[in-house]
Amino acid sequence: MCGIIGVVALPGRTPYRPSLMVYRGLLRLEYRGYDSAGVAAVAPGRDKLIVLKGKGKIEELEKKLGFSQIDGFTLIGHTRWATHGVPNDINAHPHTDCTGRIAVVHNGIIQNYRELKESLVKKGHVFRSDTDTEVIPHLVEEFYKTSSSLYEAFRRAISVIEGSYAIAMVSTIEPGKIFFAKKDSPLVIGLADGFNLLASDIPAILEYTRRVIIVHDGEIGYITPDTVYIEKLGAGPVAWEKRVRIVDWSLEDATKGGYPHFMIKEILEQPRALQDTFFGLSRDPAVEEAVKLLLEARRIYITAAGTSFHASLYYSLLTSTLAGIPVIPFIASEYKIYANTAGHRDVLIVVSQSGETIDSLMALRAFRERDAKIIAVSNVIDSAIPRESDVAIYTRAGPEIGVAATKTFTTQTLALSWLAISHAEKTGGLTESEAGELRKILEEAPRQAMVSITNTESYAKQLSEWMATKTNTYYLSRGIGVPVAMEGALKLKEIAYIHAESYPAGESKHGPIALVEPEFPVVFTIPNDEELEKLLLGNIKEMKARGAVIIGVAHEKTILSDQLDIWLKTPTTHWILTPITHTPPMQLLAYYTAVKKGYDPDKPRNLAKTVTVE
Amino acid sequence: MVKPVILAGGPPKALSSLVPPQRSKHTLRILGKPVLYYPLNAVQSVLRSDTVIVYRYEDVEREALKYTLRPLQAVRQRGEGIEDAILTASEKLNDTDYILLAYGDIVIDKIAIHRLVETHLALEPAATLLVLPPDTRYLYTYGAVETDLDGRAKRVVEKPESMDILEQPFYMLGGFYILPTAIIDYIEKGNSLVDAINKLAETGRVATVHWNGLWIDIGYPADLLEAARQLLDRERGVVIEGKAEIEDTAVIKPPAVIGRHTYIDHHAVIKGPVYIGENAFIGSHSFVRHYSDIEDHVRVGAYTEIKNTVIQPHTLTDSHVYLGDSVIGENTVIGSHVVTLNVLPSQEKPPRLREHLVRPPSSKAKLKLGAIIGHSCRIGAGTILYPNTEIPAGVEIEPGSIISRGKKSGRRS
Repeated sequence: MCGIIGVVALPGRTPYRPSLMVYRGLLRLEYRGYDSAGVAAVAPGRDKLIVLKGKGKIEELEKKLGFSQIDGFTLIGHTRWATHGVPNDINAHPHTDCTGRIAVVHNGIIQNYRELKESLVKKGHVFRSDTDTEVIPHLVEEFYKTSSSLYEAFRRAISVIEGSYAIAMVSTIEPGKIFFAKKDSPLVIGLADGFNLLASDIPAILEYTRRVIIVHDGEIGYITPDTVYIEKLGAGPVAWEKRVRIVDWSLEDATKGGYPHFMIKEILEQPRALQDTFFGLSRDPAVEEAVKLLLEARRIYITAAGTSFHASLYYSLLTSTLAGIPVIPFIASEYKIYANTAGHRDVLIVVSQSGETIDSLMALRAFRERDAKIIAVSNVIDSAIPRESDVAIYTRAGPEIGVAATKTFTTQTLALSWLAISHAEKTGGLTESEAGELRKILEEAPRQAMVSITNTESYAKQLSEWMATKTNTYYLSRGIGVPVAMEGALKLKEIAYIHAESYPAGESKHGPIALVEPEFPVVFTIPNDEELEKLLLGNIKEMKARGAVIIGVAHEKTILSDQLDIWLKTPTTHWILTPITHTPPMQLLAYYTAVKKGYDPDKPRNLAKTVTVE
Repeated sequence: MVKPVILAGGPPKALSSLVPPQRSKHTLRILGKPVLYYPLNAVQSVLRSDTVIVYRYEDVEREALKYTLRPLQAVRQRGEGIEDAILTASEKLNDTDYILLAYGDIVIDKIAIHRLVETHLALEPAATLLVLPPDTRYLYTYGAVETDLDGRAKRVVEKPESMDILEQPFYMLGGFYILPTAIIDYIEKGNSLVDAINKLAETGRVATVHWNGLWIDIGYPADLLEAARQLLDRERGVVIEGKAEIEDTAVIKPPAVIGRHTYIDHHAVIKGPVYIGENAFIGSHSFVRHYSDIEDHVRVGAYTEIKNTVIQPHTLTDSHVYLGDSVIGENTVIGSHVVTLNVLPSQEKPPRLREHLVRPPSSKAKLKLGAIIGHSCRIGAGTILYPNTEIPAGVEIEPGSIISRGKKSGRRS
């Protein structure tokens, strides 16, 4: 997913400098991607376009490059989430032709770009990036040689590309126009007085105009400061005047991709994120390389911070269970003690959503110094941690804006489960057919996550009204469920500001139970494993005896159902999917509790999304 | 273009004791506005085209005209079911490609409609359905939508008998659909609306829009309580409208809304969230507690306590009355010392009633519901009404009666 925006204006007719409008629009589109960004502008009196772009967050790039300071009245901007080619300065959009006179921003995927690129290279075009997008400006450049107008060349280019796209193009050849085309990726046009805009969504332009046209699939055209031309590819001009809509909702209503908060959007996106991650893993040679390193390892360590540590702990328990091999999990900020024990035959797995977490990066470097091999698990392609690792496995959760991790946790556990299974298959812990069976179960993860969400959302919302009145909770489980319980507790702590402590349930009698009094909430994560369920029975009973309210996150056929005061019902599936099926109800509970208490779950106090200070 | 069609011709069914003859449940009042206002306003704040409204009785048209933001095309419903309502509207739909079919008895937030319309315009599916996370309070009396991972509808099931017949994952139907006008031809051939949606779903091009904000289908008395509660939860502070008169010893705790020309007598305590409409009277020493919705021209006698109760317009209580978790129809007289009992026996679970998931250890009951008293009733002084008792419209009850479900004493007319 990426975001695009364009402004074409008459001098002196816009409320702000057009480049500032583009910059502000990009900030609003940041939820669609934030690994790199760029702007292209037709500058007065120059033959070439001004193109400023780079890797990093939009605000950082603004400081470095000054997007909002560019002169010019025809501009396009882009904010990227890498799918083809790592995020770096070169792969950032806009992309230009050989002459620097045509620039394109694109959201989507060009499926036939390899063939197109090959034929263009043969014709002498020089490509600079690894992206699929770059074929578009070169195609236009090529077709322009034999076209009567730039628009005709653009139309010819669009008719040969296959895939999904929302494209905006500017050129010094026809300076006062932004050309656009749309198929399967969103694009809207905003109409204003003395200027027009286009963007991936309405909120990006809502500050400047309320008159919008939603561009339909298969439509292509251009905007100028005072005209709009749209045609249906192969069917001629479109009478767009009838399609102008007045948007009379506020920016506040509209933001966050249509959801009240990014966090709920991201919780609900988990099935899709898991599906994408699963497909990514099943084709990723990195898993095999990682397994090779693990097989040669004398000791395996895994490290991370926060939510990623819970995924790491899960991996450690899973590898012990499936492969019979110990894995040493540790919190990244405590790396010094562990690094002291590391040597050249050891492997460290570093798990970080952003790939930039400073504690994890320091741990990585300390192990590296001792010649350990490093496997990275990250959601951001080519971020610092993957870059400094021997092997990088990527989750494909897409951009995560909410500070509290949601979809990145479930996709991390999916990737790490996949790694543990592949590893166990090679050590003999699992037979090939057992491993195959487990992979089939992982394939079910997206659907099971969705069932878990749809089954529990309404109940979690109701429960949140009571939870919001509480100040202390315990999140308990045993075995493979413990990291999941820990993750549930972290969510409640970080966004609902309720003290939530998590520990293996057997520990209650060694101290924590002293705090339990009537109406004390205890959330039990109950994996689908009869042995664990039997063990948990005693732990539940001792809590009940002291008047605790037992909230069970448990599958539909649990033998403990009569013990639960509140039952958040997850689908009955293999215990290996426990993080996938049991985490979403606890995410929802934390989310709705935060909302009930009037807090913004996207911006918990004192917390940052990516922790880059030690 | 998407043209809204509001369906407001349905029978009152479980609300019939509250709805006077020749009137519709859509004009029952919640926080000073007819039920119809909420969906009408939500839809019209998003779509600018003329609104078609299908009604059975003139009250709907009259109220709609009062609150409409756009030109209104009102048509009187022919036939009974939803399909008949759509066919009735079809004469006004020749000028549109899509309709936004909206149930006129659902209290909803306009943001839900924004999202429905935006999604429809952006994705260009064959149809777009508003869906909600399944809630067992509504699911069985409503409908379910089975979806794929990306939320595309696979199958719609109307009033599923149990969850077992549904394939997971599924959502609940939200009563707001954007549909191609072409489905009218399909319905004309005798197919149901659900058939029509399922036919579209077969192509894989029916999108769904997830909504988990304000949404209450007004079908049962408990829904009125829930709607009042959720709408009152949005109020902040105290709003006292012009010419309301509040004696200086009365106490008002926010949030509270007090309408024009309403009089609050000495020593009354209004403990929000509370809504009191226009021209109402709250007697001396009365105690109006949380989630009370007291509509226009209601007179509350002295020393009366009201809690979590909806009272329709022109109703009157004498002094020393207790009304808790109850719904009272319009134009009813409640004699002094009438008491509604509201703690339900544990086996009783009236439809749609809000469940307190966690009960305080001190309370034995999970659920509370008082009496449902119809319009134009007279409840004699000293009457005790057992929990979940429904008094049909126009009934007179002798003073000193004890009324319970199934076991009734006292004279009724």
